[in-house]
Amino acid sequence: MILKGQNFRILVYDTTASKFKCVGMATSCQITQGTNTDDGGTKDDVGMAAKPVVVSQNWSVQVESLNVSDAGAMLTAIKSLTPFTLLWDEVSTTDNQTPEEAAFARTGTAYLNDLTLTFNDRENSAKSLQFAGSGPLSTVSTTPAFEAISAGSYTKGQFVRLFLSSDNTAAPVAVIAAARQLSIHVSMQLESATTKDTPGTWEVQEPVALNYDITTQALVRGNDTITSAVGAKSYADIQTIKETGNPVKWKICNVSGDNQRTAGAVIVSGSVVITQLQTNNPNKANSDYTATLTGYGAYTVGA
Amino acid sequence: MSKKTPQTTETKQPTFVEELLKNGTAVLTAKTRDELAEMVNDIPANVKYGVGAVGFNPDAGVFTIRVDISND
Repeated sequence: MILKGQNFRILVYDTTASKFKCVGMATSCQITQGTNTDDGGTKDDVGMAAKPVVVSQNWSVQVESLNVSDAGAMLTAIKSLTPFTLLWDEVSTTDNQTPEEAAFARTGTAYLNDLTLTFNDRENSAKSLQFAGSGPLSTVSTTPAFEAISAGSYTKGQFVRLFLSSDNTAAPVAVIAAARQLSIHVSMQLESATTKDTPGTWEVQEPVALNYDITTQALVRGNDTITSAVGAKSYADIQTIKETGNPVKWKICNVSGDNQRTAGAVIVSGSVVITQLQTNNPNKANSDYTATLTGYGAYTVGA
Repeated sequence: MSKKTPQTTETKQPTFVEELLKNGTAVLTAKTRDELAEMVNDIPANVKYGVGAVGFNPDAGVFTIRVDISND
């Protein structure tokens, strides 16, 4: 029988519970195992064909999920530069969770090196995790310590919004008006730390830098009163911030109220510089703009 | 004469705060988003924490939010 994707899962070791747990509400996962080769061709070889010789191996894992309830924990994890222990395995068809110790099951240590959280209007929010393996992959011969996860919750994108200030001293209290899309992307730059001391062929990675950016898309509003009425940021305000070029404070929070503009618990906050602003104005369609905000210094998770 | 139980003025912490302090993480559940926000506000000011996004579990009909003790 051909294995179905729902029975091939990524599990992350929970150091508090000392057990592996599936990435909750996952929709897909991808595992890449790569090799680096040197050209081993010499004059001794007859013919013109290349002769790649394996010199090192690397691996990476990508997981997509609809669970953003752990957004704060993930943002903390990538910032703290600590590696995770991952396991991938075939899981039981009865619960899509219990590891089966398949022949292809592997476990290893990896850094969370790329995290994207997406909060789009009237869509389920999503999380994309990318892990870069550091060190060897091991086969799984005994049943791993495992704990089932409980049902997760859907987060609708309109209930999470971006707020900005006008400078880097004031609090970010103005919501992006008429916003449709929002995503925050954090990437950790890794550098190979493989040396002659490293056993085997597996590459070892070491974190060296952290960058993040926020992208928001909103409709362009004309000269109406929304800005003064609700303290929101319009296209014109974003344009002014962009042209001034100074950092401004931001926060992404849970929101409530009739128009989803009342800020609640803060998920993450910090300072940014707006590095790109683009407006699209097709005929017989709403004008919109997309702003890219590049992180300035460290972000703060939570309240 | 029965002995009177001494009254205490100490306010007991909500269960989820105890769980949060014990495990470093807790999932708060409430019937409404406002109720959830009030629960987050009940976390003592001296506790540094991070929150996730407010989610909705349609099967159970409840709003949820995950709170983690911050490592910062």
